[in-house]
Amino acid sequence: MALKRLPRSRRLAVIALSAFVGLVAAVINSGMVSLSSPHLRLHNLRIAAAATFVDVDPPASVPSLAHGSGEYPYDIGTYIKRAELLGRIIVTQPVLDRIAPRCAVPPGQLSGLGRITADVPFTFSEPYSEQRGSDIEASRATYQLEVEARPTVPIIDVYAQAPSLATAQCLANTAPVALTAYLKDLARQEGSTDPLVQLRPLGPARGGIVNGGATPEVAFLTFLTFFGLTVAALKTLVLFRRRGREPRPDPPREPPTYHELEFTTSAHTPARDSWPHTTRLLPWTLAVLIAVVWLTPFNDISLNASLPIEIRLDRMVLPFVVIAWLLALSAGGRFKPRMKLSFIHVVIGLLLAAAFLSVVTDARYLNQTLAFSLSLKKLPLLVSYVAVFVIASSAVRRSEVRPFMTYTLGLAVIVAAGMVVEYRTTQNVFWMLSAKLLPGGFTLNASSGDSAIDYIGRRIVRGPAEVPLEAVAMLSMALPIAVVRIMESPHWRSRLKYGAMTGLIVAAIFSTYRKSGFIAPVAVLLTLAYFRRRELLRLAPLGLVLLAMVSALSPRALGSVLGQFTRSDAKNVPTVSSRTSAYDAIRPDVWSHLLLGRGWGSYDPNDNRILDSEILLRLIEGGVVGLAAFVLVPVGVIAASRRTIALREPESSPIALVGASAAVAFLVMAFLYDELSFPHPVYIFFYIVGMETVILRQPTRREERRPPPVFLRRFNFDRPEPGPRALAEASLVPER
Amino acid sequence: VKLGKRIWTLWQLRPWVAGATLLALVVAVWSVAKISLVPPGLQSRDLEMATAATHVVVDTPKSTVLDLRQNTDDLQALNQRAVLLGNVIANGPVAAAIARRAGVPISVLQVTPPLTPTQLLPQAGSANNSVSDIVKSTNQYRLSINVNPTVPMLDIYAQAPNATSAAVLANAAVDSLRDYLATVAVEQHTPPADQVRLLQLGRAQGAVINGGIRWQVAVFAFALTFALACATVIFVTRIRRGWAAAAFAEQQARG
Repeated sequence: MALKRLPRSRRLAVIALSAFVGLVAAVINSGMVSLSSPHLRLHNLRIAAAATFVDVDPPASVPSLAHGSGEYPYDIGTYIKRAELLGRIIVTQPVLDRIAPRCAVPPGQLSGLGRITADVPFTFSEPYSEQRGSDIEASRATYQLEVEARPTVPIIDVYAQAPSLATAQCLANTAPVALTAYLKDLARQEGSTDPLVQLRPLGPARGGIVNGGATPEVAFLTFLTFFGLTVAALKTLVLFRRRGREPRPDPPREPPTYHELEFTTSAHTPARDSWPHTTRLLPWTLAVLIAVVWLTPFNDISLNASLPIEIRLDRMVLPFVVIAWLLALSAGGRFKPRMKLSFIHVVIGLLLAAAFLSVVTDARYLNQTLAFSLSLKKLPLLVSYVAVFVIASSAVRRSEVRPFMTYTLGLAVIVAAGMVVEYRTTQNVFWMLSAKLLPGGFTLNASSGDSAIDYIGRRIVRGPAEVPLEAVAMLSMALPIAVVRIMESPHWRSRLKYGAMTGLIVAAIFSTYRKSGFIAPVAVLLTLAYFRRRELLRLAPLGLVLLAMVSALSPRALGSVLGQFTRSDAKNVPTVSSRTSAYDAIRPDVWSHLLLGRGWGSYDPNDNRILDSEILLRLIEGGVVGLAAFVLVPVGVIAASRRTIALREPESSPIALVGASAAVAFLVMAFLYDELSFPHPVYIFFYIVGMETVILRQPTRREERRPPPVFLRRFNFDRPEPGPRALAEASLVPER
Repeated sequence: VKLGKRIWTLWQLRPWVAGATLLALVVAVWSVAKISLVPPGLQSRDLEMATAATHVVVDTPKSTVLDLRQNTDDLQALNQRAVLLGNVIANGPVAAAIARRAGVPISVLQVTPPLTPTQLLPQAGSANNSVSDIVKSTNQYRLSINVNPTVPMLDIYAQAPNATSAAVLANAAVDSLRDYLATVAVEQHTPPADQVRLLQLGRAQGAVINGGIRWQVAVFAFALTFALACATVIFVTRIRRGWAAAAFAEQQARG
């Protein structure tokens, strides 16, 4: 926007300079141009992998296991254990030292890793701090060997990774040969003349290039990141310089006083061309997207098509919204989305920048560990969350925010009702209906979390979400809408209506049997109490009714959730101990990439440890900068909301209060589970924040001409006496 | 707009910002090195995290790897013996011997015994994990003993502030256990044919996993201190202005 006001020549200069910086960074980071003897190297980050399978068989003097069950101790069971033992020995230093020279691998450049394949609980194979440190060191080697012994047959799977296919195949082929050589040396040392176990490769190693496009991908991402950052930096500079030169703008408009508001609103007719009474496509597409987010298990619904990327339901709907937004932008006039930079835009931009920068700065290591592709999949997901924010904050008009909030509350109530039904009947209507109504081209991944109880015996009630905690996060963000509506309702009838909705939502949250189901709503209510203590206290009698309602709708759920806090071994249950042990276990990851992290989306819990905390994930993947950027988003939303909440304007304050409460819920849930891995609540958060941004910004001229919505003409609950703006400005404390 | 105002305020207070920069520089240096004034000098802090690993087969005098007469039960028995020896390393005289060999006080050495598929968490009270673990110093001497769930193999992982210490620690675990077993065998007159043998598969090599941590810590400390110092400068300036305004208002009121 600032660039548009620049002369064309300067605008071009900014773009050219940014492109130059991006290009230089891309060339350096990807190494696609050799600086020593300048030439193009489009494959310098290429990695090849090869695999071979080695049959562990008795010596030639004994019949092979393939011909039948051998006599004890030449039986299959014993040889499965021998395969595990020998597989482990392949990746130890004596055997690696024998493999490396045969494949012309420089000393110290070959590392080995053995994986546990035995049928043991997954927590057993999660690495602790010391092992994780060793794994990190091994992952940095240019040449790597990995072995897995099969749990049911005496076969060792050998996987090799190297910069060239020939070397990878050589490493895989040499592994059994080098192991045999080691065994012979050991036998010689012990003076043993007994026949040795036979290691028979089941054919030569086969493989291929696993990341053919790595170099251009790294180059493109680096270019994109540095181009964007440079444009942003120059734009900020332009903004500051212009504000320094230009005369100070007019002071901001005084907000309408109580009497003015009453006077002006009563003189106007209800808003026209506002959603839902509009033919504008954009708000309707956004409404459809939000309905999909609330009501369907979209992350488990995929399109049956062989495409380079997996197409989930949200990724089918979101492009339509983006296209509608772009069309509206190009159409202009009354359709044009209103874009204005705010503090919330800045903090979300910082998160985006930190995410891209974390991947770009660690691109080579990520490529080496084959985690770069993971990051490439996760970054677009983040971009889609941000896209929802941008669209919601620009496409929705001030007069449409309240209807959208009502709509969101309606969807939340439907989800809550469905979850209460699920709690009482064990039938998940969202998944059942999705399975029935989906057309042929789609698949519902019904196996995703379909067990009736979790690993510590708690029932799984999750509504349209993938896991119960996700449902808790979704409903916790909608809860403040209902509570704020109670607070601003003028009549007991409407208070009871919204009270019933609140009760239903809370009952659904408790029906998940998760401790977070207590923590998140309490955090939301404390936030509301911080800003509107007096109003909330007046609703205390309603709270008692609400508790009774929760007990009636979800019998025993409340007691069960509270019981999890008060039981004697509350600190030693697996869900707690696995979280607390993670703090120490991730230290090597944190200390090895302290500042910028190892790269957004690059942490694979299947290879490491399942982290039930978004905060820890952000620390690992984004370092202290990434974590700060992530935490800054909800904190920034709360900070941006405070002034508007304190002003107690009937139009904007309730929305700001909802936004701040949703931000608190988002932040609290980030401590309790890996929030960004489950998209439902993340979409909802960015959507609510987008809506709030519309309210926080100054109205546009068109919006100023447009009359406020009908609801403002009604009496608002506990509206403060009109006072000078200075008093409201000075008093940012929640209550006067 | 507010950010621009803040930057403008700081520009007006250039001497204070220079002071904040100086303070941030001192903190950045302090974060990576201990500063001593008498005598003047800098002593590097232990910020590196080094790791080393070694693997040991808990073996019989004639190696299980070679002796094909040993069956599933024999391997299972050895596997259980490996768990036992892993616990022996973590406790009593072996842990003390490791500390002696590594040249660290026994009180700073942390040894984690092996877990098993039936004992998935450390014994109650043996591990007091907390949130503060994440910000603990890297200046720790730690050993973690893992046992493969199916075969008699010990995986010994060491963590120390430098590569040499980590390697010494991992190797000391094997050597100390071997010495302990030899001593017990002598005391109990165990014939060599009945003794357990430790087959170490290569000596441990140490490596630092967070090279370049010093400049990262220094940059972080500088940025954080500078930001806090600037915020303090702005805050103090606002208080001063408020104070002056209040004093002026009082003067006006007095006439």
